[in-house]
Amino acid sequence: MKCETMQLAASERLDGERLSPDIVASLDTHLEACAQCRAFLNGAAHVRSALRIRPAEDVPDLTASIMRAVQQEPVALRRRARASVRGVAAPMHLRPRHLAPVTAALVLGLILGSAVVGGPWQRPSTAPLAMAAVIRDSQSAAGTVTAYRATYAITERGLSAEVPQRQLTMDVAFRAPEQYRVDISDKTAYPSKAWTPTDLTYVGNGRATYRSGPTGCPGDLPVQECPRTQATVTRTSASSLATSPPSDLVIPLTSLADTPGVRITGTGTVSDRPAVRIEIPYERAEPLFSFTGLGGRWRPFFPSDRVVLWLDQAHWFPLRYTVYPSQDPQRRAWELRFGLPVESSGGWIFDVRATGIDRTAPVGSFAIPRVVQAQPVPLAQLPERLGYAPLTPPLPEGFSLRATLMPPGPGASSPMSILSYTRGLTYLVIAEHPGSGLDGVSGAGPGTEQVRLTNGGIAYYSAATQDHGRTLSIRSSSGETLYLETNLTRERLLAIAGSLPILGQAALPSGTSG
Amino acid sequence: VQDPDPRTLARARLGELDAFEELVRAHQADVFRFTWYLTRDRDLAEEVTQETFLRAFRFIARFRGESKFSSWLMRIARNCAMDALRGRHRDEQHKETAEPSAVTDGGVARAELDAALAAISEDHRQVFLLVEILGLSYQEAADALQVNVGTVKSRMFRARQRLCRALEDDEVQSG
Repeated sequence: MKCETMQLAASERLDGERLSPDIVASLDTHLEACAQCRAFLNGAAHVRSALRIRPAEDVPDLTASIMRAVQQEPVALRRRARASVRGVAAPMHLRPRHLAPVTAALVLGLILGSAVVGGPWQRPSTAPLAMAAVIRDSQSAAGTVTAYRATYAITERGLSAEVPQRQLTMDVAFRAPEQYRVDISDKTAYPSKAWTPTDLTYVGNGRATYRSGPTGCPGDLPVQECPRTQATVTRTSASSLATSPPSDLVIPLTSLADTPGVRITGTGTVSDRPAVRIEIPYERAEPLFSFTGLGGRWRPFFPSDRVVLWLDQAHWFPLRYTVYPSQDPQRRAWELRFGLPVESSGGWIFDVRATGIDRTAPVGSFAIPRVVQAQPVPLAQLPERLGYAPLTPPLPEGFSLRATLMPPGPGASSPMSILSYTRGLTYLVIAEHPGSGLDGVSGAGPGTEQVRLTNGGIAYYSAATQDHGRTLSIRSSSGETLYLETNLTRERLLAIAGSLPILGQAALPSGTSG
Repeated sequence: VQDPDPRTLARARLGELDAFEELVRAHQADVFRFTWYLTRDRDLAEEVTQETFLRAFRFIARFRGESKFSSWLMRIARNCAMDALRGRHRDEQHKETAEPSAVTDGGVARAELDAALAAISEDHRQVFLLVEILGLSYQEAADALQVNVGTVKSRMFRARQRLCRALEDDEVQSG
């Protein structure tokens, strides 16, 4: 009887249950003297180690099939849920609007497509078609946005052991053409005053930008090394073109310009709005995180981390995007390098969630102090002012053109032309210089891809990143340089460049093209 | 088994699909493991895992947080697995579908352990799986199985006793 009681206590202790000090003392004394109870404990430990050293079962990922089944639940259940969610509407919340005809057609297409393939959770083989429709319609919607403002709640996990979770809010405002404002307010309760809150302001107005906030800081530096600074930046050279406006925060045109690597994984309701769920690797979705490049401290992401993006099905605004760690085995070494704990692919690490969206004119100011904006120059005057007639592609439908002159860059003697084509959120900027004035931004380099245009010339293409849009640079045999930056699709960018009467030359030995 | 962020849970309770999906991603591996050990049938365990989350979705609005979410989910998983096994028993004689373990290093011990686990009573096995495999505390396992903590404690001990004896016997026979 005594042994059975002791073995019961030993079993409990083995499972981490709390025993009273008296029982612990009796158990230890008994175990020293009783071979039978020691054998039981050894046997239990043997069972445990045999169970724990065995290979893990091959656990299937059933998420898609489960969510497909959940989606097919009776409408009443879902309606009840949606009705309950209304209570969380935020101050800037906008009631659902009637779907625009073009979007309604797309939604109908999705529904019909879903019916064919067995539900809104699409099989991978059907995803490219639906994704192409999303891309087409979001590009189209971007051209019609003239004003926008939204508020987001940002939750970040894993910045450091001292600050395991942060809460921030972000206000995004846009007014056509080319006026953006992003304000980030850090709501985190930090453990000490050594931490500088990541309060940031960014204003982009035409070719001028303003940034305010603490400078960025490598993750391994102590917080004291990141003093608060303010910076005002005016674009005075072509190289500053490589700072694209944060247009993806309004509609993720750059992130979603191509179908490879991006897939639709469902539809649902987010903040009471019909939404499409898209999965995209972080490296493709980087422009959605452009605010992390404005300054302050942010956790790092692995290129193949999975971003689950919910887009408003009517207007294609990002309603929510959440980052999950990728399952890439190389991520572990990367985690060690950044001093991160092991991050499970099942738990999210970063979440951006809309709490209010409005399509009225934003209240926030787009004025930039102490900056004189470059004045537009009539196209007809450009040849006289520049000494050459800039190349102008046929104006895409609905786009408006604004031309400005920029002072010459380093090493150049003549000014350069900047042509800005805009339509809503969509932009295409073309900078041209008869000599080497664009060397800072154009030409081949790491990460560029040599492409052949339809006019037979060669150009160098760079995919969009957090810092710049999709870019293309062309240098002719006579030394003339052309630089294009856009959030249009790669295909449209190449088609526009191919229509220009400039024949690009290879700048690198063959074999280096991507 | 870590419980989800209360905010995620709250949103899932309101029917937000993205929040519910987070719960699926975070807990499906544990549910699958548990149901695989209960059913010894991979296909059935997949079906039961799916059914578990479907039921969880239907009833999550009623989850009031009296127990941990993981305990509540495992209770559903246990019920689903039992339903599935009863259904299968009705249709056909239970097949010995335990996946044959590869006889590599540790393979013999693993096969013995699987056989021993299959031989103990259902009640004991459920407690053992929740505590030993999934790492639930006695209180959490008690919540999952709707029994009291004392019962979990004694079933855990009995399961251990039987597994230890089964392994000893096998060692004697093979030695």
